[in-house]
Amino acid sequence: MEEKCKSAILEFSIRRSRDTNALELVFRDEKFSEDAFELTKDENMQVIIAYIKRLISNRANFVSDMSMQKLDMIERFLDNIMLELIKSNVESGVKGGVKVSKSPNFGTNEVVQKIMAETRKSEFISRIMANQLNTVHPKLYKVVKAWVKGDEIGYNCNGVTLDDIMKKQKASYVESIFRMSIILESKSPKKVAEQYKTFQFLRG
Amino acid sequence: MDLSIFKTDSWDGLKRDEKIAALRELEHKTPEEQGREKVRIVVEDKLLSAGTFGHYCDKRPCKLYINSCYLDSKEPLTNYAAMATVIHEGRHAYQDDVINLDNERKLIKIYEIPSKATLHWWIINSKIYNDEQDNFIFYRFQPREFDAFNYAHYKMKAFKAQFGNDVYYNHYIEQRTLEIESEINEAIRAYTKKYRQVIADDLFDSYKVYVRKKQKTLRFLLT
Repeated sequence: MEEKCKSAILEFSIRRSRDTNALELVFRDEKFSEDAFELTKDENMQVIIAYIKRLISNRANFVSDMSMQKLDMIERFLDNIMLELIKSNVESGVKGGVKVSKSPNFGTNEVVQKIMAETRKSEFISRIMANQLNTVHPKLYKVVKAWVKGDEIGYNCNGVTLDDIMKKQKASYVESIFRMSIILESKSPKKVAEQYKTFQFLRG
Repeated sequence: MDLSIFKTDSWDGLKRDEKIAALRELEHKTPEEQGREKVRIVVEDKLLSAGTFGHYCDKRPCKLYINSCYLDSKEPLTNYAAMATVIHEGRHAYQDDVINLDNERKLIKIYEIPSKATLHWWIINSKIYNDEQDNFIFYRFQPREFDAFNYAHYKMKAFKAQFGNDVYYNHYIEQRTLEIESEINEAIRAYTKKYRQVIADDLFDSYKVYVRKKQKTLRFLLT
């Protein structure tokens, strides 16, 4: 474990985000930024961070591999993340100005039944859709969670709303979330949202 | 057939009757290529909703409905969308002929016979069909619609030699390509990468229920 975490720390890099100018901590494929980070995979991140912090606190472990200044930065960064994790108790939502999301599990029987009722689709299709809800863009987790609880909250991405999608594609609320997700996932959501407005979805 | 009548500058100057005649001529050209029966085009004012460009009716004699609003519309790209609709609905007529080939229409010559697997799904889809009231993506990727949309886009792209110098044609193809790409992305997101199989399997489940009901009715009538 110690060796694994040590190598993980050595693979960390800190940079300025081109888009937001916020500090970003990059570790392998995971990217965390100082104003918005998402824990989408590892729910045990708190434990791992705590472990890394303990390793870092002993500078002797890294003295030959990394500058003290960089270690200080990583430590401060991890402190901030830890603070927010503890505050939010790793629950999804916006807390203390920092968004923390964890891997959702929307593929429950309750969700399947809800999809069946709202889309009039079979259990087979509804179960697939319920599982696919876990793959939507993390920004939509709160929309899905609210929907599971019975609320249909609005969501707007550059002028395209869930309501627009429902009308345009004759989709139910939950189906419209998938389209919103692909708009958000694109490299340029603004451009894709503008394109979407021109789509006709003609039938014949 | 001289297709130049569909070019934007020509189409915009046509009267309603001339547009209908052009679309009828286009429809009558396709059966000759496919070896299927010709279908009569009917312009419909009330039957079709705003989002429905056309409709193929397989009740004999078969008809191909075109939404009248597109003939009167001054919106750009309507000419190419109208062409694509005739080709799309004509493809349904072809599917219908192929499905019924062994039944009442042994005399017609279908040049292009689909694979057994494709035919199997078309037959199921002709019994269990998700109509225009359903979510667009589910409707769009059911076997017969998937084929008709693909065929129409393929044929429209093949008109590049005739319409390539019309900026509106190029814009139409570009727009349709974007739409299709986004539709596939959404289908993957909602129904996984195997979206076509997922939708087909779902139709098949409904088809099995449909067959069981039929058998039950038949047994009841025979006893």
